[in-house]
Formats: sequence, structure tokens, C-alpha cells
Amino acid sequence: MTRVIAGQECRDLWIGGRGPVLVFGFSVLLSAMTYLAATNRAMNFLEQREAVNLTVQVALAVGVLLTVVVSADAISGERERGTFEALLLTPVPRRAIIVGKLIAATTMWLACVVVTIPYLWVLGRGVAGVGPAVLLALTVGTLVATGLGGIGLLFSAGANSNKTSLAGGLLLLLVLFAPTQLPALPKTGVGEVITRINPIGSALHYVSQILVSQRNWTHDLSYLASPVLIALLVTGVVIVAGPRLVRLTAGLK
Amino acid sequence: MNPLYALLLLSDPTITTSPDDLTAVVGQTLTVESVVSSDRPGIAHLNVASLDGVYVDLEDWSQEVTKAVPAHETQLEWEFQAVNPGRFVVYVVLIPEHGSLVAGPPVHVTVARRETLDTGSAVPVAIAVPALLGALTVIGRVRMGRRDSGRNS
Amino acid sequence: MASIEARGLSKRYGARNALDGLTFATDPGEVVGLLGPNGAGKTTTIRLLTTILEPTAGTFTVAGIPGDRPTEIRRRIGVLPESAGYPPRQTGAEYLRYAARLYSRRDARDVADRLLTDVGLGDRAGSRISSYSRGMKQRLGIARALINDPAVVFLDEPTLGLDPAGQREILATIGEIAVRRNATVVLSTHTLTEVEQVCGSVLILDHGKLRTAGPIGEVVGAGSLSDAFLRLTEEADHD
Repeated sequence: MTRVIAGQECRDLWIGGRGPVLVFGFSVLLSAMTYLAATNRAMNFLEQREAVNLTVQVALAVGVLLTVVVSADAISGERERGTFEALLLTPVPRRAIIVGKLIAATTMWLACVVVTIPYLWVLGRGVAGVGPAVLLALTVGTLVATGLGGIGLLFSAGANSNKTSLAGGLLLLLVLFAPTQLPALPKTGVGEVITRINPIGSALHYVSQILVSQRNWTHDLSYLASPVLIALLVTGVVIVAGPRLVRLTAGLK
Repeated sequence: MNPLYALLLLSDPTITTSPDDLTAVVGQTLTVESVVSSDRPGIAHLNVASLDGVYVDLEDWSQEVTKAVPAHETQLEWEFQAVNPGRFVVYVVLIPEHGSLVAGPPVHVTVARRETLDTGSAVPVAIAVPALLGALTVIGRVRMGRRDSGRNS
Repeated sequence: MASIEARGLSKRYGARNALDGLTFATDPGEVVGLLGPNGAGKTTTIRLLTTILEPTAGTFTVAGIPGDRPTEIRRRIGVLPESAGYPPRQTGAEYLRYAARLYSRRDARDVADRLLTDVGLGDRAGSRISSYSRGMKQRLGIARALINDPAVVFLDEPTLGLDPAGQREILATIGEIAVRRNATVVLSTHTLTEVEQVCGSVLILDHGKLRTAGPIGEVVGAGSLSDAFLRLTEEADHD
């Protein structure tokens, strides 16, 4: 039954829904960045690997943002539109409903990865960095998108208002993304701890270590602990607590 | 122990650096390893100097140019990015708690100029991808709109 | 066997009693009117019996299935919720096919087409729901409530906001459900004339309490349903 829910949610998102518009906006952003990276004199000292890394990082940050936007609407949005009660009145297990919605939200991230591939190809040709970059986006990015998308879904289950759940999701992303903009954060003792516990910060650090510093994939593997943990933990909460979270009104039973 | 006698027993700090020289292109990230041997704690500092008279902004080259060094032998790894083309010298200086500065051997870095990104092929991709996605979005919406109007008429 | 049986059914929200000790039973094929002023507990009653809410106290069975087996109950009931929303971008046919798949029906396409025809939407099956009138949406909602051939159908304010012609169409559809499908229909409404037209029996709630239950003839007595309703609900206000 999870497949039926996920399938319908995907159709609602991608056929006539806002999925294509969001991905279009995402591609415009990547195009502007690629054009600047390739033509702007101030940025033209960028080494190819750095340009590829920058693209993966922007794709990851914005792709996860779009995933959270979709997932944060999944339940609270249906409550607001009055379509949720009809779904709850079917014999479909509550767990299937929430897991199906999480799967559908994750397709937003996968679409972002697909759209990113041509940009990575044009920026990284000849330095053998395109393959690893796509693989990193698929693996590390999917972990982060699943984890944070799941948190967006939990916000959505816990909020009666769509605005509340969207604001919660965006605030969380802001809090996680802000430390990654501080210079030299991973190099200091406390900074390294902050980077390691932050799923976005640790993912971006791991990606840059492989793409720019050309480290071995296992060299900074411990940085993936946070993205893996958040993905497993959130998926676990969604599966275990799903039946108590999927209700007509917000809050735990 | 007499402090003066103890001071006489202390040997001079030494710094070794490897490799001796490096070549790179602009934008490339490089790594130099240094071993600092000192009986007293101090601070190791990375420096970059141009041999062509080009201005070097150290902050652009490296985010981490100072590292605390405890007593005894310490291995340090310095990561920096070649920001300007030309000939440069990268070296490590030890600033001990007491006494004179100690400089390590220079690492000669030759950085070649390079137009890194191919503008010619980036622009078509930057235009084609959003154009394709935009067109698909519009076509999808128009088709749904036509289907509705067709059924309603 | 009663199609619905409730004993001492109660729902509290903090200090407020939304429903207090509701006890009643209905027979298969019966159309039951659920009446009461705003805040009487009609929607709470329907949400309890359809397992959307859990009772604070009391027990119930629907289609012979006890209330502690909600998934089984949901398989046997059809519901048109109060203020039901509809996905505007889906067509009526897509909406019903999806609903049929949620009940694991293999004949999703056939049953969707048949029900759309039954409620008079066959010629608009492929149109997006956003282009439907309110009455068409209500008929679509009723079709959805019948997608699993339910034994008990709950309709919460199905004629709300409809013009007289739309109301007549919906009431005709409700009558057919009971006759053709032998399903029990619980009709929650504010419109007393609707109850007189299609219901065999009535439950009148006020302030969460059952004021009366039984065949309309017995409840009304010598007067009209309107008189009986006002008398029972005004009595409660004086309590």
C-alpha cells in the first residue's frame, strides 16, 4: 500500500503539481552559478575541482531545501486543503501513508541530482571529478535529503498550519546551514564538533575533502556519521511513530 | 637544577619541510609537511613570499597559517591553495616562547596560469537545461488546460 | 444484527464534553437522520464511529465489527466528511481510481467509471475537479464513499451550500444507496425537511447528549419534526 500512496503523491507532485516549477527554479540557479564560474574573471581562478565541488554543495543545499519544502507540506497541507480526512478513512495503514509521503518528497531530491548532472559534466570535464561528484550527490545527498525531509514531514505531522510546518523546516535548515559559512570552522576543536554533528556541515565537508583535496573516500568517512544517523533515526521515527503521528489534528496521540 | 645549566642543555629548534619544490596551476590545492623539533613549546607559522614581486594575501592562500607546537618533535601538515600565477616560496617559521625566530627551509612553488573553465560549452548548458525544463513545465500545463477546456466544452 | 450499535459513547476535550454517553442502534438498510444544532456533537459522533477519533468512554460496533478494530471498520464503511476537500488537479476518474486502489480493488477503473455514471458525472469523468461545481463535488464525494461497497455510509452535511436542485439530486442518491445497496445511511444535517424526505428514523443531539432516538413518526408525534426538534433542543437549553 506504501507504493500506491507514494505513486499518487509523486503524480500529484510531478504532473501538474509544483515539482516541475521548483526544479525549473533550481536549474536557473545552477545555470547562473555555472555561467559566473565559467565567465566571471573574479571567479575564474576556480580550479575545476572546486567548481564541481561548489556545484555539488549548492545542489545539495538547495535540493535539500526543496525536499523540505515538499515534505513540510505533505500532511499539514492536506489538513488545510481538507483532503486528509478522506485518506484517513481508508483502511490504509497510517505507516504506509507517512512512508509513502516521505518517498515522494525524496523524489524531489533525486530530480535535483538528475538536473545537476549536465552542470557537473560541463564544469568538471577532463579532471575525472564528474563521476565521483554524481556518486557523492546520490549517496551523501540522499542521506541528508532523507533525514531532513523526514524532519520536515514530522513538522508537518505536528503542525495544524502549513505556515508553521514550513517555517519550522526552513528555520531548521537555516540553523544547520549557517555554521557551514563560517571560515575555518572544521579546523578548531569546538568547530570540528559542530561540523561533525551537523548533517549538512559534515556532508559538505566530506564532499569537499574528496572532490577538492582528493582524499580517499575512506579518509574522512567518520564525517558521514551524522548524515547516516539522522537518516536512520528519522526514518525509524517515521516508521515507528508514524501511526501515532498521522492524525486528523496535529500532535501525538 | 641550576636554571642556567638547564638552559645550556637545550638544543636549538629545527624545522624540516617536504617536498622541496612543487608545481601547480592556479586554483590547485597543495600540501606541505613540516617536522618541528623543539624542546620548548611555540607557534609555527606558514608564510608565502613571491619571487616575482607579486602581492601575496596570505588569507587567500590558506585559512590556517598558525599552529601551536608543543615541546618535542611535531609533524605538521599545511594545506594551501595556489591563488596567483608565478614563482613563490612557502616556508614555516617557529616562534618560540623565548628566544629568536627559527625559519625552516623554503619550498619553491611554481604556479602556472590557466583559464580553468571552458566558457564556450558552459553557456549552452546554462541556457539549454532551464529552457528544456521550462518548456516541459509549460507544455505540461498547457496540455492539462486544453484537456479541461476540451472536456468542458 | 444491528449495523451500528453504540453504548455510552463519550468524547471529552479537556473539561468539555463533546459527546456524553451516546447509546443507540440502527438496522441494515435504514436511513438515520442525525440532527442537532451547531456544536451538538454530530460530527464528533461520525468521527468516533468512523474511527477517526478515539472515544474517551463507551463501546461501539459498526457493521458488526467492534470499535477496537478500526482498520476492519474502515474497510466496511463509506464516509463523506464534513467540508471534504478535493485535489483540484486530479480528474474525477483519477480521484476515484486512486480511492479504489486504496481499498486494494483490482477493478479500480471499472468501479470508478460505474460510480461516476451512477452519480451523474459520467460525462465529466475526465475533467479536473477544479472545474466541478459544488454539487458535482458533493456527488463525487458520495461516489468515493461508495467505492468499497460499504455496509454503512456516513454523510456529514452532504447538501451544505447546494441550491435546491442540487439538494434534490443528492437526496435522491442517498435514497438509492439504502434501497439498492441495503446499506445503512447516517445522514447528518441541519435541514429538517431532508430528514423527513429520506430518513426512517432520527437521532437528535444537543450539547453532546442524545435527546431522543427512534422512528420519525414516534419522535414527531402529532406535530412536525421542526416542533419536536425545537422543543427538545430548547428544553436542553433550560436544563
